[in-house]
Amino acid sequence: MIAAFALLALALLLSWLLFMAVTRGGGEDARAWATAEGVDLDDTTRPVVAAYLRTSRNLRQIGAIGGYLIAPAFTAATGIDLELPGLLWLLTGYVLGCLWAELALTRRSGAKHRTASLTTRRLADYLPPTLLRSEQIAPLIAVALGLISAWLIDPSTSEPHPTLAVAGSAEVLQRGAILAAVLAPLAMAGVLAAQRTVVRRPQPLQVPAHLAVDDAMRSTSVRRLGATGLAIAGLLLSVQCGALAFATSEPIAALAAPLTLLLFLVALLQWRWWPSWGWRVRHRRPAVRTASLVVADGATRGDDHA
Amino acid sequence: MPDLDDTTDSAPPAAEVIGDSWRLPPRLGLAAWVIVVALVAGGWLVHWWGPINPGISGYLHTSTVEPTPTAPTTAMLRVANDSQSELTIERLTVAESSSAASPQVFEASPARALPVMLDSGGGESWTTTDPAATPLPVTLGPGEAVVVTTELAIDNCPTPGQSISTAMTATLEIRSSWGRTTSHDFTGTSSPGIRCPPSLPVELSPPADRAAAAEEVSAAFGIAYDANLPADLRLSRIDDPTGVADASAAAKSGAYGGLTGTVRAEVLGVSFDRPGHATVGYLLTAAGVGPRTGEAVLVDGAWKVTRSTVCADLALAGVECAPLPR
Repeated sequence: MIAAFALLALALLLSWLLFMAVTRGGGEDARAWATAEGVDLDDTTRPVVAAYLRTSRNLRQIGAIGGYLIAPAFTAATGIDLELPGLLWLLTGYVLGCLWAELALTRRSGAKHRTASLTTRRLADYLPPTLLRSEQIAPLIAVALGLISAWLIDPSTSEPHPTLAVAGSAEVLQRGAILAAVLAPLAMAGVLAAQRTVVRRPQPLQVPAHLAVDDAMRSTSVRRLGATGLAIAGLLLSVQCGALAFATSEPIAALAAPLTLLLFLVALLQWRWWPSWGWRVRHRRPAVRTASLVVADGATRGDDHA
Repeated sequence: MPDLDDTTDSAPPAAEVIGDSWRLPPRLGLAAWVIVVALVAGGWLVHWWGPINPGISGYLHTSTVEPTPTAPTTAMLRVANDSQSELTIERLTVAESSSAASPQVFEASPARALPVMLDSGGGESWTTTDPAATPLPVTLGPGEAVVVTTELAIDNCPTPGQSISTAMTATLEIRSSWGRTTSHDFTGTSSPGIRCPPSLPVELSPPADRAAAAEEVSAAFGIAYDANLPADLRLSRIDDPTGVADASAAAKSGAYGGLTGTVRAEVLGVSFDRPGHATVGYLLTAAGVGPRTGEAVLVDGAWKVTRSTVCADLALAGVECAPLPR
């Protein structure tokens, strides 16, 4: 009993040291971010961006570590094997951390009355078209590879197929490929929903410079969410290709083998690349339009303001 | 899409206000870290106390020592408690569930209860066919294992000589230290399959003491085919051993020489079809051949294996007995 508590205390101490290491440094450079995103920062927006970037970075990293550690703890507690690679849990935690950071940041108008933007914000304005298209195509490819795996892989083959990406008998490989065909669309659907939530959050800002910064922050977040979702989908596609490479015969196996490694690398590289690739949000609005609600006794709905 | 900001000029929120237009709660990183540490520590504490679903591992191994109805299929289930806490086996069912080669054999009783022996490793074991009579629940400490064995014999073979594979399923209901009961299934299929005995002719002239005669026939086959016994004794159980010793020696030095030393004959059935003559169904164990049919004859009051039977079996090893002198 004493040994268990001593071990727990040591684990907590180590976790605190890890936390300090993760959150040290204050986050990304606001100036570099502004340059990449093409926005100008002033004395009022610079601390905003710095705080946002720092908090976002901390939550993402803690989310990633948490995702990696909580999954085995869940299995240990419940006895239910989640049967997914740790890297996928890491990325899932990363997505949640990213989303949390964005949802924690709320906008206030600073006006004496409630305000609302009448501009329709669309996800396509905040994302590069290539990224958005990739988010839509990746799940379809996963489903197609799942069907191909179900068709081509003979689960009765008893030879083991140890590989870097996947391991197990043909039956296990086929099951993993089919599971990936289900998980990839689910993951991307979740990411798309999160991106839409981020884009559609209230934006009651009235200063154009603030709007530009806010849009750039949203764009960074949705790109990061999309890139992480694509990384998850890419790893699942890599698992499917690995299954086809080691449980089918030529020429499918020869085609799938290099794709396994390629998809793995592309998944990780694009994950790092998209968020740092500056994207100018498309502004459809000619001017800022707001609706106001006078908050007073017997509140009356106000007129639109141009 | 009008979206209203509900933050008005009321009292400042208990949050960090950054700039004029944004609000970000302070110490979010710390809050996230505390949540992560709490979940991870909580999970492992639960594991240390005892998982909600007990961590058990086990396997059901079924085997048939010899492919004969007289050697029943044995199923051995071993279940180990992998968790750090006690768990309780509340219910145990072992059932024969199918016959791969001949499903109709057990059609009438697709899941019948089998005799079960449970050995906890602590010297306590029991055997029963009545699930209600089992001394359950049995508590397993951390790392302890329990072994359950059961046997299944075929009681009605549909087709003589047919191989029947039997599948068994053991179901355990286990209660964790959290009070949660879960069910765990282990299945196994017998290998090799059980082989039904060959068909024998109708018995028309059984001896007065049929049981003793049948036993004597079985003993004659057992001795004649046992390579570890002296050659003279073995040959004495053959009605006409002419040339058998030479053929046997040739078989030992032949391609199947290794097998001839281990093969035994096990009698599956005897039919005294005419006076002084019996047709015998038997099995050459470890020879990899199915049940065979041979003959025994009564010579000077003793039942002996016929020379033709022994020579036919030696032919399986690629050796021919020398022709009898005319």
